[in-house]
Amino acid sequence: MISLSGMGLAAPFGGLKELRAALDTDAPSAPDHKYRVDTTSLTEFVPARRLRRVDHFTSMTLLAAYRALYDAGYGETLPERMGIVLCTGYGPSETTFDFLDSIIDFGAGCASPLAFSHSVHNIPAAMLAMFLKTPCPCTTLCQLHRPVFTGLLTAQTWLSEERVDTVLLGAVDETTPLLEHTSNQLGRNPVGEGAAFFVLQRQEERTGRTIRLAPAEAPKGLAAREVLQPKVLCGDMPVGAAFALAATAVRVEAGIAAECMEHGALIRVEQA
Amino acid sequence: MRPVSPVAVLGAECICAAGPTLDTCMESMLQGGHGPASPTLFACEQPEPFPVFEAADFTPGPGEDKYSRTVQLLLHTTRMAFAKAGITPDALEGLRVGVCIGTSVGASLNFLDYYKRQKQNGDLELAAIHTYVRSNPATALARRYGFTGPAQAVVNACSSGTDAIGMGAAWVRQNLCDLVVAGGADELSEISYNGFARLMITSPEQCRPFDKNRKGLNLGEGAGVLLLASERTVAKLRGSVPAQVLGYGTCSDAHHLTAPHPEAFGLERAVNDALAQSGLGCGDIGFINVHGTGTANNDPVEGFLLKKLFKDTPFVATKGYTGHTLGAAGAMEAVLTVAGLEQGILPACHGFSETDPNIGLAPVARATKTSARFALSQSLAFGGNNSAIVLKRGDA
Repeated sequence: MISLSGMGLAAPFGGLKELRAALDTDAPSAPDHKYRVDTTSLTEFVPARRLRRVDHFTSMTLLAAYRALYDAGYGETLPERMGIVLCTGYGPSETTFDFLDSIIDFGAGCASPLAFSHSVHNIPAAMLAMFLKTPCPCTTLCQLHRPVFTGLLTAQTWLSEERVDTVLLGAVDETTPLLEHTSNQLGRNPVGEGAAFFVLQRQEERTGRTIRLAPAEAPKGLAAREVLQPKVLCGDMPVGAAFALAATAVRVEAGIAAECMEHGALIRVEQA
Repeated sequence: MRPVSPVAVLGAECICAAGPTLDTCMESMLQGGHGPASPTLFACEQPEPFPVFEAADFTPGPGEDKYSRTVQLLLHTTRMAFAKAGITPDALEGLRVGVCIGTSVGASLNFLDYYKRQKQNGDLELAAIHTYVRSNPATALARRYGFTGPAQAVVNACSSGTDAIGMGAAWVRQNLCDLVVAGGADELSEISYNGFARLMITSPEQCRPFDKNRKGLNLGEGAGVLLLASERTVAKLRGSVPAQVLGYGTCSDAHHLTAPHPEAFGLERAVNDALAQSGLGCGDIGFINVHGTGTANNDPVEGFLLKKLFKDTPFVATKGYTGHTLGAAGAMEAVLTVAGLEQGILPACHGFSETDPNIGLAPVARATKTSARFALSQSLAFGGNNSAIVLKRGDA
């Protein structure tokens, strides 16, 4: 198993403190507005001037990542030999559609190169490495099926083979008008967005929290004790399990046994 | 990084503009290949046309029309790889088979026509959405074969295929899987065509990797797959092992979003990590399959590191035959590296004719015999990502 040393959220409901408050209510309720993440507090970590060309997906990524690092006790000094793993269901949707908009509105010959380059799916993770000034192993995974589980698997693999000593694992998705429209057409729950980051280390090198995690195939007939259906708080999104994982970690830390599931896969969460 | 155990390659296959199988690709490349042509898969609306490498000799398998072209290319190549390795689907029963596939276009929300109609008319039929949902390359492949191991789509732009192979090898090494289908796939898309054109890094003629007069890249499409297996699986399947994956390294420059670090900082670390995992030094590498896009930025950076670490090591750049296949590129080049080790011959660098004095190194300029035991394949990507894998000849 691997140690969870810190967590950070950029969610429609806020951060980790707000998640705790929501979990303490009997029935967490959906916000009465669209599931949209406010990233203005990113300026607590990064000067506003540096954020001028940063898109919304990347802003959520940066905010949750900085919060996770601070939660793990890292401020100005970052972990040594760190790696970044970012998982997503749709990738940076807004910049993808910005580029399509520029083709439709202005013609292919005048399409926006900036929107295109920012729509490439590994750019948010690369920008995180740039903002942290940390050349390091950096990978992005994009899939609708088990994105968080596979992200955790990659983190575990990197730690196990000693490629890195710390993994900053993130899960990010964002909503756009087209995704909302299509989701509505398909009769699905309202589309949500958000970013959740986890600072993961080998057990012997852990700092901060005392939770450990492991991805595992769920045994047949498992009645998982899930603490949060993320759709309620964050809306429907492929990486919703990351918010359920954060909620599970909060509960386990408080001494309440719980598990996190993602499409039939189990993420075990235990006190170290 | 510490040395790790090798992982067997049970099979290697690819499809690209040079041919629908590895053997036809190698034959075509050794005979000089053919150049790029105007795109036929979509209309070119750029003021100046940019030629591409389309995979022409290719028909999707039965029942595969419902998938994206990227998945169709991947399924075709995987089928060829299993067939060439003599592995039938029933032989895989009871094995934990994982899928780790690099892609770029294959995981993007690139439904331009649907979006255009939605902007104009509102509600529409959802065929494009359903195709997208079922066409994540890793998930689609795993479901098509009923594999129960992990399935992961790596989207690290142009290094995705190399990364997928490196990660797939780690799954085998760490006993998460008995066998992993690892590689990459990407189709030609008008979105990336227009994007690269607008970044002004595509060439209006045949690309010329490392040439003094290079004018940019040609886009291409294809898929490449390695079947990676544990020793126990090799024994169970009674397979032959044409090559082994020894080590993998990856490092993001954290320098610039669309340009590599001028002194190849991240690439050097990726190469050194791959060598360290392999337990090898630079002098052990018999040849290198470079990224070699033919762009102004890429080739000098690779040249910088080649001069520093591998001054006398032959290197090949194969994108003059295949085009730049983005998320598939690293995987296809790993497959071509396996073929180079196995067949003992390297194709000439198509498009290259004159050394760039600012680089000071030339790729293999004519078909060249090699007795290399070890080879390196390296990829650079948007976002400043750099990745490298070391492969060993199976009988070495």
